[in-house]
Amino acid sequence: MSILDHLHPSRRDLLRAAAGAGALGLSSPLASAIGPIRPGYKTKHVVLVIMAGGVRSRETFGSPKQIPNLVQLADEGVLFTRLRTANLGHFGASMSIVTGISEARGIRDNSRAPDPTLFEYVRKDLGLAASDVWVTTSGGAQQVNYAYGLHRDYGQKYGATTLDGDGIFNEEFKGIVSKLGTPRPLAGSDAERVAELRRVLRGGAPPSAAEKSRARVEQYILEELGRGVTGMTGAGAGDAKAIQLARNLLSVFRPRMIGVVLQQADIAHGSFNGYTEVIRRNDAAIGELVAAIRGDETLRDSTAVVVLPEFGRDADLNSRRGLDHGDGSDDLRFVHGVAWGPDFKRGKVVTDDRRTIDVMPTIADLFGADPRHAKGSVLREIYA
Amino acid sequence: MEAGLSGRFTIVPSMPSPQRAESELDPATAIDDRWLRAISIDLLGRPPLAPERERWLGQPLADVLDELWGLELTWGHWLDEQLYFFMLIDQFRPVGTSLDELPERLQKGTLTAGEALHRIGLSTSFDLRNPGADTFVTVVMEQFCGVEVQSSRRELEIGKGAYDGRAGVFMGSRAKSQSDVVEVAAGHKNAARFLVGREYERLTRAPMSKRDRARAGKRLHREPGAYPDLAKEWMNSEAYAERVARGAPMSNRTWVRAVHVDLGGAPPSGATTEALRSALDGLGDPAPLRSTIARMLLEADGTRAPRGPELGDAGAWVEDVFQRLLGRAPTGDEKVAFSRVASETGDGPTLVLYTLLSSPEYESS
Repeated sequence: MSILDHLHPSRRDLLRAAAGAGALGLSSPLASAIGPIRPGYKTKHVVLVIMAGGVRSRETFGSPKQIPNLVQLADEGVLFTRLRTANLGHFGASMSIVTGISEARGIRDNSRAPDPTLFEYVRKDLGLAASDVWVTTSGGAQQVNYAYGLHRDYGQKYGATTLDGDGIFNEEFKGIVSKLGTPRPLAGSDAERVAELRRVLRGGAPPSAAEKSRARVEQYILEELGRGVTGMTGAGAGDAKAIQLARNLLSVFRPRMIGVVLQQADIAHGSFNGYTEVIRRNDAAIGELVAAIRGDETLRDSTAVVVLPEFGRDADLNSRRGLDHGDGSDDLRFVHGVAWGPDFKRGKVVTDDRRTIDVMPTIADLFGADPRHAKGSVLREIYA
Repeated sequence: MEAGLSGRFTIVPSMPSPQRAESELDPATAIDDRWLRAISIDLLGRPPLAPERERWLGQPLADVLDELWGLELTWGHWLDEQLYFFMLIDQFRPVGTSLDELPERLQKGTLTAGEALHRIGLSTSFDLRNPGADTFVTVVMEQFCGVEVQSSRRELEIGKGAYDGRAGVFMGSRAKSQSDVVEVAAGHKNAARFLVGREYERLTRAPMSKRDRARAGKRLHREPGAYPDLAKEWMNSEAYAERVARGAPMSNRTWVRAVHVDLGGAPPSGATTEALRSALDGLGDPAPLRSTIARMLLEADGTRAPRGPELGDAGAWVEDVFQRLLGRAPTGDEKVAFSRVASETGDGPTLVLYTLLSSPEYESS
């Protein structure tokens, strides 16, 4: 058996894994049997959903009929009613949630943060592979920067594997794949020849762990292209793709951690109705994600879900009957958030002020990781 | 001194003279494949096409830079880079607008780099990308002048007022409209300083010192048409020589064009570039998808690899692809191993090209 045979799971194996993506019921050949994250805890997997793009509490828990699924999560978990947001620019606000540090970032900055992210702490401290920690996004090129920062002790080698639903699974790319044809899997003597040439190019060194991980991701992408994610359209389709990708990844890889970064609520600048439609669609997609978790016996009692917006929006409509984000009001600065999982309290409501940057150290604590550079605090009141 | 400016990983020391700053290279020195590939990627967004390689290989660095900065193609790529900087991509990418004339006007010298940025800031795409007073003014302050808005809240509020039609003194000048906000920021002295800093870094992949940034920014503010001369100076410096010797990771958009040029001899259409770029930008680590795309192209019309029996002298073919794709000759071991695989089977050249295209070295040209 060649090294590439080892690196590339067979197509049949992947198809078998992928077949369960919708139902999340089958065991995956890519997932290994894993125990709880910390002794005495039940949680094995965490899904963090950041509603970037700016979502006011008035349109979420202030209008509970719009978000029945989030309300149900709150009823079965912990609801925070006053999470103070860290930074009012889109990119910086979400970055602050994953670094646990309130940091100034330009709205259109397309660069890594200087600080480590939650994903790096978790991967490094727990010795997890890249396929154990994922981020799915809907905001395009900029959001891949959430995967890792530039801190010298962390960085790319501990980064999350990141997929942008609207990027990879866009119709145009699918058209090119259809036109050119899906490449044949490398196998047998061809795979051995490539492995040998790569060895020579490396000066005789063995392949790195990153190379192995990339081969698995390559196979996953090829299989995902054949599924229905690409075909989603309409308001909030990018967000829906990001959430569906998270569902599929849970099925195929059973990762320890998935971050989902949404973006499309920012349509609110020009369309209040479009904004509320995005919120309803995201709530429904989160509901499907949670239903899939509940329906999978290996995930049901071992998966935690945390949902929060990066910040709210202005108190009043703008001249275009939309909602901007810059008035400094409480509608902008405070948001609601939910934590649901087997180790969390049920039906608990925290009305005191907490911060969005506290969420990251809390998840790190759940993993037993040490977020050395984070400035937030662990939200201990959520534990049962 | 040898004809090439650098070997595989060596940096040729500068030759100081009374006419040149110490950090400048000898502009008369001829360029080799590695240099030509780097310059072409940085200025045209792709490797050189065959006729370009024939024309520029072995020519003096200064002459090649002069010629390239005189091409509309170079300014077209410059505009692409600016649009990407402002994140005017995907649905926000301006298509069929008045911005299309910018490369020609920049090439003819009837518009300066700063004026081109001003035009971008006034475009519908920029407005759609940055909706609302807060986002718009924040992005203008950040991306034109490098201002950290969180510590300039007062200025932001004045700018937001101007955006909404209320007169005020924004960044030192009177403003009472959305277009005034752009004009004030684009013409501010900090805009010139910020532009030279980020452009120097884009080309040399190294930060510009504060002193050099201040000096170059002052010059650009005083002489708005000086941008191409400054860029030529940067590309004729030791900092750029280090970038060439070190290699620099290709952006996804550059990689898409590079792989098409290297396999098919021509860049892809704009639509293909955008579709593949957008897909690749969706991954934190694009390497797995780059690998997939390379394999697709190697089996597609126009970019298909030759068959083993078509090669003739496999060793010479391997030498050529190493030189073209990596900008260097193969080592002895590499030549033996790659020539053997290339000539072994019909698919041999495909396997050789796939290995090179998916190597970390290819991704850092």
